[in-house]
Amino acid sequence: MKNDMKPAEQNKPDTDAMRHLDRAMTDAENAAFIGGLSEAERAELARSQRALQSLESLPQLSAPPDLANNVMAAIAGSDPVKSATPTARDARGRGWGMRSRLRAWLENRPLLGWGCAGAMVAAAALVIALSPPFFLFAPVTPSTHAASASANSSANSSVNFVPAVRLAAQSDRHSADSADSPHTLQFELYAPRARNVVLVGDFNGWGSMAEIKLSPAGNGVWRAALPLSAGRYQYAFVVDDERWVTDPHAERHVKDDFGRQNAIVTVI
Amino acid sequence: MKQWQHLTDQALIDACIAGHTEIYEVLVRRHEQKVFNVLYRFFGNYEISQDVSQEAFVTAWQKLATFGGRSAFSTWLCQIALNKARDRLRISKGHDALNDDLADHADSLFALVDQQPEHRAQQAGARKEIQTILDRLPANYREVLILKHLEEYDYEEIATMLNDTVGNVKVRIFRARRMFKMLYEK
Repeated sequence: MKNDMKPAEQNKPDTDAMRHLDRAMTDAENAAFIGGLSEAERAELARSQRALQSLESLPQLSAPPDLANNVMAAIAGSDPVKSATPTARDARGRGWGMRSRLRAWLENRPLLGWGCAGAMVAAAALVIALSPPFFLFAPVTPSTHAASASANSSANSSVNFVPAVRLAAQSDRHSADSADSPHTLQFELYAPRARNVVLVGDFNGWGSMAEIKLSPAGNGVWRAALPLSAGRYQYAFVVDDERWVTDPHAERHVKDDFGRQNAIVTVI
Repeated sequence: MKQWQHLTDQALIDACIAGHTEIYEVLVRRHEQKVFNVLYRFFGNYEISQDVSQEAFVTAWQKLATFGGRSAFSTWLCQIALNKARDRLRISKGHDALNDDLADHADSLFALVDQQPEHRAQQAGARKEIQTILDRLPANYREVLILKHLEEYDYEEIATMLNDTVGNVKVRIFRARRMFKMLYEK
């Protein structure tokens, strides 16, 4: 607030005056600050406050009544995950492998790609059902999906993580004697910036009975294998102890009591 | 939509990413007033603010999967909206032609303001003057004053939105206040 400042100094904020105008001072600090000003400086400060009060008197306006409807009409039929898919050029620039490009290509052609995979699963189930007793106890893949969003986030350095889970039954059957014998399911999440990832579900009391940590498997992928008996399970991932991440490609989703989306997998 | 309204922004975003497009409307309705106000005070023009608000929400939808949660969703939205606003300003090569009259949209604009009609008329002139002063400021000063004094963001949030340092934002606000005061007293 000094009037005899050089021009260069006049362009630098006076910290005390800024804090005063920001209303960031305590009453005692305000009193000490104002008490230390000259009459002219006090008048100058008062004029600044009046000007800013007039600015702050501008009212909050209501949004145009049709704004939300227009936005929803504009995004109808689009998918935020797919919208963020990088271009082929971006992908090449970031060293995508052939597998990832093939995965993206298949995702854009569901009838050829995962639709085909689904048909193969169905065919496999039919073969199992019609096969000799040895195969009757073979595990059935509950849900096989590609980690579509893994490609998305790898192309954007600002991404913390994108939910993308691959859940696949392994042929690691512990016993062929009982329908209750557990199958090992592999849970994967692509979360390159995550510090930790935990799997929660009704199989572990949503984390209260046991903590299932995913381990980094390289290239931003986190992985955990979990033996599960036949049944239908809800699950989700918790990233960095705070973010609840569902699997967008799960066979089904269900909303829990807190409004969060949980994924569902059925083990037969 | 009512069943979703109690959810946090993050839960709504997760649901959108999980494929529930319709839930995005809850997010839009929750934040449309803030986004529109920032843009209206930036442009001083109703139609352009409406257009750019819509563009901002559509872009936010397209980038939703990249929202990392490092800032509040509203901060992220305003960042997108201000980027769009600057782009629009560059295209229009100045904003003098953008200003319109608040009175043209009085019914919808003041729907939230609890005032008697005579008070509205009395204050409309003063408000228009303040908006005119805002319009005369350079865009980089105008945006920080809007964010600091009308939307009450703190320095860290403003720095995030403007992709700048807190120190630079403080300097900019200091200079913007000084220029606003000078024009106000003219």
